[in-house]
Amino acid sequence: MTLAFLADLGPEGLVLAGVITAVVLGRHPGERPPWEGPLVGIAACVLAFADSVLFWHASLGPAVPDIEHGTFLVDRYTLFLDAVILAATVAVLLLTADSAGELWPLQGEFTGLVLLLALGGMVAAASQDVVTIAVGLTVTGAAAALLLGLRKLDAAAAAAAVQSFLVVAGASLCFLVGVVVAYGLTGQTQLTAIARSLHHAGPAALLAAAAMILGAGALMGLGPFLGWRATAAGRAPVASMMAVTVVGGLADLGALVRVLDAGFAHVPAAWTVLVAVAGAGTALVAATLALRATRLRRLVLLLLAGDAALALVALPALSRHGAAAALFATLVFAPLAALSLGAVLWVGEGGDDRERLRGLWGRSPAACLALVLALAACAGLPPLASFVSWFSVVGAAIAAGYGWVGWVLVLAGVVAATAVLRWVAILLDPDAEGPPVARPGALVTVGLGLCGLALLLGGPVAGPLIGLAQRAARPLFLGF
Amino acid sequence: MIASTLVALAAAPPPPDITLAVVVFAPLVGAGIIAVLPVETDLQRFRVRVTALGAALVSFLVCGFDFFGVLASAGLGGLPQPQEQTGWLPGIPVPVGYNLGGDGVNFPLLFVATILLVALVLASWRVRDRTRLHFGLLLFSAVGLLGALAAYDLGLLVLFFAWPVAPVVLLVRQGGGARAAAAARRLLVSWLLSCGLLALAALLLALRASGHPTLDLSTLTTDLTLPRGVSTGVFALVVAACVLRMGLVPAHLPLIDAVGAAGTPVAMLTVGSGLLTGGYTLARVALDGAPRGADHLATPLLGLAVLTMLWGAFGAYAVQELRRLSGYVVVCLGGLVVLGMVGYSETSIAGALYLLLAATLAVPLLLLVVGAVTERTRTRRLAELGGCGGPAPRLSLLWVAGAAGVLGIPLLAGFPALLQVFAGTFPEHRYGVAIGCLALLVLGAALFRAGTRVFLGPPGENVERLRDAQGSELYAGAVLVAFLLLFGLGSGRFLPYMVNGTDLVSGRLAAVAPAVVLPALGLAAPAAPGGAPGAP
Repeated sequence: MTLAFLADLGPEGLVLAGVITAVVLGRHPGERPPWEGPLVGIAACVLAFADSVLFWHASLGPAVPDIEHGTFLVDRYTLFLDAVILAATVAVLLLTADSAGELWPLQGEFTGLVLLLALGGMVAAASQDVVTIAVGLTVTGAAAALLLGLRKLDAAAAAAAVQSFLVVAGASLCFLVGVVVAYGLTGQTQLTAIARSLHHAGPAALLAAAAMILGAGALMGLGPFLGWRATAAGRAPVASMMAVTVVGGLADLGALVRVLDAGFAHVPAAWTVLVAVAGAGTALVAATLALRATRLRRLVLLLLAGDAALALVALPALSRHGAAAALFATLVFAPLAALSLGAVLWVGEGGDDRERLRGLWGRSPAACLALVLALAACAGLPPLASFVSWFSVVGAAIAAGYGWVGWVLVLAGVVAATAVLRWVAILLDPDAEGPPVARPGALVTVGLGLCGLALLLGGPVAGPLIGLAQRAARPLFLGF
Repeated sequence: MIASTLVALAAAPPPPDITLAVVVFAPLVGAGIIAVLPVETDLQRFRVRVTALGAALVSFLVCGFDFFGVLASAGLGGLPQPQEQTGWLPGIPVPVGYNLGGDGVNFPLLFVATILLVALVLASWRVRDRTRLHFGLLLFSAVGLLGALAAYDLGLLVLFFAWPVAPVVLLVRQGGGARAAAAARRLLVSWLLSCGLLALAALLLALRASGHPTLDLSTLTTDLTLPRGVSTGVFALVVAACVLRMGLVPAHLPLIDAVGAAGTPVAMLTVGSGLLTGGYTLARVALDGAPRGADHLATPLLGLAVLTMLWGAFGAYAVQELRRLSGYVVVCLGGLVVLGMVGYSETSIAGALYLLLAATLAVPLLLLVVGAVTERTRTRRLAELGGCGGPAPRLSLLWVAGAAGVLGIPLLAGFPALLQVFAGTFPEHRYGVAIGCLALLVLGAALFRAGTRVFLGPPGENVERLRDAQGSELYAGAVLVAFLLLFGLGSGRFLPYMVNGTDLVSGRLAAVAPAVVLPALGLAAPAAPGGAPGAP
């Protein structure tokens, strides 16, 4: 063992340093300015991001450095996901900068936990070994549960945290069952080795893949866990909910893409149908539930769950294009989720039910505009980046031979757009009156502006971004 | 020094032609400016209107300049000119390119869409409530309409096809009341479904075509190797999408409800957007992209046309509400457009496209008059109206012009359009043409009855409140009438250009379906080895 891995895992180290600094500085909340915690977190992320970007040119093609005998791999997929997770973390920290009141006196802990969430995601993204992926996912899940229960004296938040802990424990166990079965079949825990040894899609391979999909899917809120995710996150402080949904969602997605595309590429029959059914089914159920949502927070959470599931639908294509479509969807998910929940945080201070938000346009046009943009992006309306993402994912699914997925996603898109436009009509209602919404602080404004700009420009300039995603997807298929 | 600079300039490659981009995106720039303009005072609201008009005029003038420039060159229309082409999303499973083009099939429709946009802004001039939102959404939705008509890439077409759904639905919802809300909801579901079906058809077409997956229309339409089953599926999906978008039977109610519930300019926009994008997509994607499917499903498509024409015509006759009558007029015209398409000859398809063009000018004109009458008299029922011609002679004249445009009265654009449709379709579908003529007669009777009821006879309720068309409203009507006349009188210039475009479409149909197309062209179908003429 050498200490070279310290340099290779520089971004993770910087984020860990940020966790420690934020928690230490947050021990005396009354003595320090409230913006200090977010700024420390943002600084850690920016430094880690810069470290990742510098590594990009050094990690060309197949000659990627492996660390600790292949346990970690800093390839372009890792760097891409690191950059997305870090950018999403910065967005969350910016957008929650005004939430000092809601988080006080635990703002330092909040920043630390958000960074820990990102760290778990980065570890999972850099892992080439299913055991370390499981560790990364567990760190993410544990940090998410702690974030949800941050408001300890709030019974609802505590219940959400306990529920979350149980689901994380169950999901981790499930994922580990998959790891054990895969090890039993192949005698390997490294993904490339598993892929080389696994050639027959027998019942055991199916069990291994299904257990891992179920484990990571439960953390993402796929399929039967959709309702839990929306309800549990809906009870927690909005800032925590945002961190869990945005950063946690990206981490789970990244891990699942790596496991399936790199580890089970030779046995597609073992998992492709399951992933397609889970992804398309979740998107449709989420859109249908969103149609009945009477609170903005629930609406947004459900739509985001559908958007996250959408990324998975491209995986059965088992090609660089399919993986790139999934990665582009992941990339779009970051600003999408951040803007949506940032808008919820902004406008939902006095309550987020329909009647309270009726006629928001007349009271606060800027807030209404941000919310409308976020909701339109959640529904994948053109010309936003999420529309391009939807189109490329459906294309990948049909190319993989899953034409029915296209039908289901069209239906899901129609239902989601109907749900969203009903809310938009309520927001634009000219007859309603109510108090204006307070303007957000400078950091939140910057965060909202950047996320909005990313969604607006992500459609027209999607070409280079998809090219980036393609380059990031390439290492997944090397060596097969 | 100067000479060398001039030589260098002359030797340099010409700058890229971005006129189509200007046409499509000028309204988006206008919408962006309007979004940040204040609207507290009358002067500020006036600035919003002027900005909207400016953006619409930029589109109209640039498009007109280009269109008439192309018309001046004989023989054009078959290939896209002007054209803008660059890669946009090369990395996705089905690459999408930024490819805009104007040929005989779409360029005249694009020009008419810019005329409609100018008329819409003028018709909206008196909108005082939520001026910024209204004009912003109007321009925003226009980008989708113009983009769909200019797109030369199927992916881009899908994007622009879906673009106006949200703004148009929101504008319909702004009509106020439960009726507008319900109409907006129905229109939303109908149009969203149409977008989804078109997206599926596009992906199916691209992925099942020979060679690399592509959405480039030039490539797709020249690939005649698409298997018959896939082609049929694609054709059925696109037709379903167009049925939903154009408001054809059995999906006509959402459009009619929207026309009935929305404000006047919004109803004009809804009709124009639905007809133009739906009709154009039918020609460009269904006929041109899936000719084998068109061959296979010719009879169901004819049935759809017949049903829609009759339903629209008799519906217009039976309905007792002036606004809904206009909706049924749109339905009937949609059926006639489909009849022209199913003729499968360059004449009938060009006629169908010309009819789209005429309907885009004539129906909004009718809606403008209907809106003025119903809003000022505060009644929509035919039975309660009467004697409006006295206080409003200009409105009466505009009504007559609109009805004449719809019914194909000579000198107006509808005449050459219907002539082409009937003449081009007759060799193949004689009974269809006969039913089309019958539907047109019934529609004429419905419009005549409504016109005499509303404008002649004893004064009805609230007629004293009726003010004649003036100012921006009159200008909007005048613009529409002027271009109805221009396209009627100048059809000799425009139609050959369109036929050059549709010639390629019917040529491709003939290549895969000679049994259907050649008789339509007055030629004998080739004898099959078994002896049966035209057997596949």
